[in-house]
Amino acid sequence: MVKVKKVNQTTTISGLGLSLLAATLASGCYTGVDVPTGADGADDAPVADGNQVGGDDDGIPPREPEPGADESEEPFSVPSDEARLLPFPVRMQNLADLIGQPADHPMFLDLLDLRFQLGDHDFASGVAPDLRWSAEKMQNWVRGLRPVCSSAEMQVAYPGLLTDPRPFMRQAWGHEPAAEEVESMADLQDSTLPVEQQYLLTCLAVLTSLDFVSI
Amino acid sequence: MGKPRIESIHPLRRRGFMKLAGAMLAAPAIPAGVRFAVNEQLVGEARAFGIEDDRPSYFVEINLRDQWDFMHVFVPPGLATHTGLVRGGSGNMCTLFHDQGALTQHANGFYLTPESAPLVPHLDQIAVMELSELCTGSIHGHEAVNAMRSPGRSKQTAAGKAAVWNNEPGYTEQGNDYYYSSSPTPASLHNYWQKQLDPGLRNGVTLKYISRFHSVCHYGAGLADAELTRIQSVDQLFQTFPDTVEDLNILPTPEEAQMLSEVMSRVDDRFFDRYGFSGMARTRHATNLTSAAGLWHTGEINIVSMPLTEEENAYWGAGVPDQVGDNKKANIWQMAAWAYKLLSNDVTRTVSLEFDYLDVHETRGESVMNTMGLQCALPLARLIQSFKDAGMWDRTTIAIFSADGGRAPSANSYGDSGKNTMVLAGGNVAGGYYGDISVAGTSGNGHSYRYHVPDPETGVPQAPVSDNSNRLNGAHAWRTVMKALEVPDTVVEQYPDVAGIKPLSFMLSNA
Repeated sequence: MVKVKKVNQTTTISGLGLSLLAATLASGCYTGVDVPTGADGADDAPVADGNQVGGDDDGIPPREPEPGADESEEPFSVPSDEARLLPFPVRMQNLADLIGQPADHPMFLDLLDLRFQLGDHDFASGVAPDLRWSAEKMQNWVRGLRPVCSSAEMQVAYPGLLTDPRPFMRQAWGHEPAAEEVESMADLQDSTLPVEQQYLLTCLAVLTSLDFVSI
Repeated sequence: MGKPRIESIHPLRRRGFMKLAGAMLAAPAIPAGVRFAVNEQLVGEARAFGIEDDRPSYFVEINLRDQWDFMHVFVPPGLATHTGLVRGGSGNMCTLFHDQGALTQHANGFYLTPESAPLVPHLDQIAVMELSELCTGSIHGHEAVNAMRSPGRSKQTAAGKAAVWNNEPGYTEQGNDYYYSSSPTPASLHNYWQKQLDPGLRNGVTLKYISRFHSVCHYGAGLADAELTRIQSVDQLFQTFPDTVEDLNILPTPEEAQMLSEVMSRVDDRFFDRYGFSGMARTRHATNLTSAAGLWHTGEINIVSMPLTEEENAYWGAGVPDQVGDNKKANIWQMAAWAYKLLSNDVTRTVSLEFDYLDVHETRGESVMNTMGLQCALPLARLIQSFKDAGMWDRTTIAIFSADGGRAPSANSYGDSGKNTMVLAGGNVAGGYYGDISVAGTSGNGHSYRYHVPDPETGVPQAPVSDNSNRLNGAHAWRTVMKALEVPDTVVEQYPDVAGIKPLSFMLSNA
């Protein structure tokens, strides 16, 4: 494998962010500020749009709500044409519970380092949740899961994954797996691969499936 | 350019040779500059062999929000030449702060300011048209779509029209509005088309670096492989394009990546069955899984380092004012530099930039106009020069939109009056300022203005109007961008709101 100079300017920030995240997860208050904030400040003392809901400092009178309008009429629907992810903190907590380890265990460092790639939010930095299950998120989720699936803790928790993946699937998905799903997992037990690689792929498959990452 | 070298090969062997050359040049390890240099030597006859249509095109879509005014970049001829123009930052004064002596006149209707002077060498391939149909957002025009980017977009849903905002993180109504459409936005459709040409291509990206809660919608109109990767921070950009090979190959072999993808597909099919998702959900997911297999093992050895070097900072950043806004994410010159890196190394072929100048109302002073002028003109000039130096300008298009509307010339105007601007630059673009704006009379402390919309066939300015009527259907601009990008008519004609609409051929050299 060719290795090129690694430049990771995010390490320091991510490390700091990780500590903060771990602290907030531990304290059970992992939330962002979900009201946009900000101030004006253009040159020449112009009047600028405000950020308050309703746009009441737009320099124009605020609009009155339409008669009969209320929040229930805002466009909202659960999309049936695209699977969406569970919020990142929920996925992480489910993962930690599944393996029986705390959420700040080192095996989760890669996932936490990639958290914004995986849809987490930080409203203070202008990063909103992004819960599309895109190819790039699949890429990064598998990247972050690799140390989890390779960990000794995982092996201890699910030693029989290759002989019978059903307990792991049941625990991860919250329902009994269908026979076809179990058979599909067996396809990953390619005899040309080392056993540890078979274990890794099976673990990745269960934890990357929509049953685990989606609603 | 001399006689194409392909002519030195026997005619009966040319096609086979060109196919082989095409395959070799498509290898990711070949730098774009080399690829284009070889193409230039070889493909003088490429069109005759059907290879021209398969060559890549590169697209930078720049969406400038909060009702960007290009007055200090491209001055409408009617205002540039008006004697006695009342200049100023309040009321109905004109926001052109340079007097006539400071402007320079150029061919094809261009008048430039000191801020935009670096664009002079490139004017033959920059086209400006500011009179498309206006933006309709409920807060003085603010919207996140624009009729030029998604013709036929509407606040009412209708058959064939779907919500355009669903894929934008953190999308809210205020200043964005909820629109429905059937027309894909330019960068999304270009991303789709390039991935049809090259299924192994990495997904296009949009850098969502607007400082406010305002957004820009990118809409694939149901095409499974069109949606851009949304990048909301600089860290995210660097993580998306890491600079180690190790990072790119998550699984050790392509066979394992393929195996995982296939198993996931079967397992997730059951999920869709259980929860009643539509066929579209399956198609999208299958497309994503296929792409993911390529990302789990890329085999790539061509690594691009996204952090800018000191030299790059000096080149791209010189003289460009910082972002003006609430929550500054990145400067526009940095965004331009990253776009150039991604495209010139053929990492992806579609990059969208989202940037803003905090919305200014009622008074728009000289420093506001100077800042916007420099933030637009300098990165544009440097992008064009860099693409030319890389030898890929003939395959590149840059489209700049005043994404949520432009402004009338009066200082106290909003984005729902006067202009809605598209600037197009590229190898297939015919330079010129098309249409005009002039003084209609005296009004308040300044003027009233009138708008000479270009004829969509000839580009000749038509009889003026002094209100917001008679603007060009946004579909003209959309078709013009698609033509510049060489997206085939068979692809674009399927969308009802653009079908049968002609591109503005006067803005193009390939029409």
